[in-house]
Amino acid sequence: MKQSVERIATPHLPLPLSLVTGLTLLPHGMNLAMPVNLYLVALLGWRIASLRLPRLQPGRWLLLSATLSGVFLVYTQYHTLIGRDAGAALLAVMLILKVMEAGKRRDIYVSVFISYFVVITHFLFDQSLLLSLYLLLVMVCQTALLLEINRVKPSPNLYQPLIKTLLITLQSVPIALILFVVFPRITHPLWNLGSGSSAMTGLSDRVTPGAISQLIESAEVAFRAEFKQSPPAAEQRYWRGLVLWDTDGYSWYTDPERPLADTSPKITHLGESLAYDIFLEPHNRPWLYSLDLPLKAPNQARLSGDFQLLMEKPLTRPLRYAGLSTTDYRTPKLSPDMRQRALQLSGNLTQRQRDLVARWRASAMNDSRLVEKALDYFNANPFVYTLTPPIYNDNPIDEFLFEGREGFCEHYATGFTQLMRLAGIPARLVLGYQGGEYNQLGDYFIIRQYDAHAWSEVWLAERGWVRIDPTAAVAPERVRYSIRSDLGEEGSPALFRIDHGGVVGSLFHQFALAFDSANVQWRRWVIGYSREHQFSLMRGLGFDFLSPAQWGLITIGMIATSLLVVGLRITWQGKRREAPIQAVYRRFCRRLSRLGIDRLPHEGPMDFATRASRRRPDLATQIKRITGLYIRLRYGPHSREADRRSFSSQVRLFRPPRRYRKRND
Amino acid sequence: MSAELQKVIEAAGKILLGKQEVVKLSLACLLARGHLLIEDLPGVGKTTLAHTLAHLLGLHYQRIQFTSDLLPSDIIGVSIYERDEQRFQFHPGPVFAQLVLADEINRATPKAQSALLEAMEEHQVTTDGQTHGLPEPFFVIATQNPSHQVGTFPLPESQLDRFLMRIRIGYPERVAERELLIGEDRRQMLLRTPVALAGQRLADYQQQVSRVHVAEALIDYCQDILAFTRNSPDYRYGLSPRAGLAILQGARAWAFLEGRNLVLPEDLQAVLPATVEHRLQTAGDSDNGLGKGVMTDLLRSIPVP
Repeated sequence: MKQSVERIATPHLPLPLSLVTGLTLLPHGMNLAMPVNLYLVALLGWRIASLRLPRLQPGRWLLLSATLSGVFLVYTQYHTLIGRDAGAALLAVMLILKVMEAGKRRDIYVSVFISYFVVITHFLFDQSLLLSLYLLLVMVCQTALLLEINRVKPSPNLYQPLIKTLLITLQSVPIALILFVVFPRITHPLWNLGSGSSAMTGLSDRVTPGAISQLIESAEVAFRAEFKQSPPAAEQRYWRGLVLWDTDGYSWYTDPERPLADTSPKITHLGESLAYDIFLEPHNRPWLYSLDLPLKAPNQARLSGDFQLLMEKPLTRPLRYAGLSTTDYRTPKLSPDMRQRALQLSGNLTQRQRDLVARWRASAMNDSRLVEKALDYFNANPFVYTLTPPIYNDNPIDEFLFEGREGFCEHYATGFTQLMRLAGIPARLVLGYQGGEYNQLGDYFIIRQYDAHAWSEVWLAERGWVRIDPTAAVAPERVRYSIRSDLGEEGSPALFRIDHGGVVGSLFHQFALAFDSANVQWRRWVIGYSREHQFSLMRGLGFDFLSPAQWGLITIGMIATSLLVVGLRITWQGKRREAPIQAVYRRFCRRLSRLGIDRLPHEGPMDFATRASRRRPDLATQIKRITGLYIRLRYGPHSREADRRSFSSQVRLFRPPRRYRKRND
Repeated sequence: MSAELQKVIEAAGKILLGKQEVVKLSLACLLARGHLLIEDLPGVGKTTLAHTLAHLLGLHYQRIQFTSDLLPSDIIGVSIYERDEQRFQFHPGPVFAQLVLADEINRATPKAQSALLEAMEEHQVTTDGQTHGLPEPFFVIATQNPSHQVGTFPLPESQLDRFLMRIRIGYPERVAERELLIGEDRRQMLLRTPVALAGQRLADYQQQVSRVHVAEALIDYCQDILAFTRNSPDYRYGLSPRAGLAILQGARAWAFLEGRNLVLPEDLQAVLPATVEHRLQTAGDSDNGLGKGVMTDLLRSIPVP
């Protein structure tokens, strides 16, 4: 049956096949190199055109050269044929080439199966909810096509196979869910997902004037945070990233040659501790973010002496971790070398800075009074908080403090930190995010790149490290609202996101929040479903007596057994009531098939014998005798043992020569 | 095959030029004790075929021309009050014959049609509370025009099912047609042709046909075909068990005509289109005709066991 059905031409299917192939390849437009994309589009267009105008259908040589040029193109683009990018490109090229020549049923089968593989390759690039839903739809189309191939007569309309496939898909959902939940997870992916070369935005480990204001233009999500209890107020939502100790007068950084002694700091926390989960986007940096101030490091990182969460390697995949912080705290004593480092000054101090600090020192009784004086200074003088600060060249801090007085958070934070150090108060710069937007639908905060912020910490004898945000002294709105990234003219005061611009804007915003929420749930429950989750679920179901390895083996065993049962059933059905006579006859047919005479599955023995004899008149007598015996044994009323033996021996002796030689006599 | 049957086929072949296969199928149908329905356009030789068979087989035959005003009593007969004997006397209608030619059966109203169809199924007729047996053997050869022609009452599926085979004649080939056009009148020719089978011979052959062996493997094959039509979405509904019986019976007769006493898959394939086409409807269209391709697909879809 197989052969004959597969050879049937299916004139109504190539166009749907081409369209489904287009849908399948569409998301690769973002993943593959542009020349490869153009190649795919061109071939698909050619295919569709040649369905309309059959004379455009390429011949064998043209197809061969298209194949060679496709492979060559992939090789020149990626300089290899293996690996994620080149592999996906090669598979896409192969698919389109198969579609080019697909006319017979078997070609369409192969094309659909290749396109299933192409669907898998999409997940090597992106695993988002939207793409998954799209690919699910594509798979429904592919399966509908597969269903249509197997029909004897074409369906009366397009919906029938689609609806049927939807039903099949729905039927498979429970199985998919069970497999998803119980199938053993691989801790490390077999391939490195999502380590694309695409630039990731985020804070860098060095602050130069203007570095953060560039980030402000990006609305990309930095991370999401979900509190287990009521979240802190906006004024308390400082997301601590990294701490910068050293400066060369122009930029701030932490000298990697001088790592801090890694003493786990002991914090006395006065308020209650806050537990929360963070869903961090990959930012290709080795630090994590936490609510100021973290009490404990998550499993994936360690807590450094200056309250940073540091990992061994840069983060290249989305990460979910649990955080524990407090907003009301007292840090322990400052070690001598930390104090010394927190007072270091660069060589770009000017006399007017010294005078300013000396004035404050003269009127302030203690350090905390001095800090207040400094904040008053920013508040009382005409400082402007702007996204488009002027460019300060030689001595940015000095120019900002005394001349320009227009700046963004990093200007305020670096300026303030330097003045504090000048006044003999240990101070350091902290980078992170501030605020974040609350998503009611998912009950979490979205922290975007434009929430990036810089602030200072000063060490006061009676309170330990205290967070001081000089930006808040100039623009208190900053800590309550997000910044609007429509920049305005240079030096113009920054605008804040207080409403979302009318009904339409508000609706759109609500929709965006709902979609973001769905995406978060997808990340958490589907992509984030890890080996650990699986085991804790198994423990919850009472399977904790099994070790992970045992559980894995049992699952694989169960799946293998069910596959075996299904496979055996199919085989048995195919071979039901197989009589030994048939086996012998089949051998006879195989011998003839070696001569290029295949028995069609629906062909009766007489018809086959007639056809075979016509092809090989030299064998006609033998064929006739064997077929006669077979007919008598298989379809006759009595099967005699003598016939049976004679049949077997005749087939055994039937060894026809490959070539037909005409006898001369 | 017996010389007599060979003679029937040859003689009929001379009258219906180039239609050997059709003649052979019709003969197989009668040997399998089945009723035959011949469907084709007017003028391709439906009635001639029916006449030829009746004549050659030496059967007592009657012809009923179906028209839209035909009444059941025109077929079955009527009871008439005989004054002399002071009772009703049944006067048998044309259905009381060994072979009934029901010409253009779909031109009559369903009421008249069903009178004949009942006789076909029961081999008896009932009128005025009295049952009258029909002669043995009893055959109906019905002809009909394609159902989309004007003035037809299509036979319902349940009644189509009672015909063992439905065959189509088709236009003759060019050479055969030429011979027909220049040759003698067919009706005259038929009258000159001697009867090929003597009285009881047909019944003997029918006996022999029912003794042709059908192996297990062929019953499997037949069941596979039935199951395929029932499971495939391409047909509106699958074949009935009666259709299965018809296929096997037809295959037996065909094998007998081929001179074998055992049925081969080829025999079954030969009679399959004629035995099942009128019992199947494709899922898509309302016309009860199946294209030739559908039958080919059906045969190709089922491997020979």
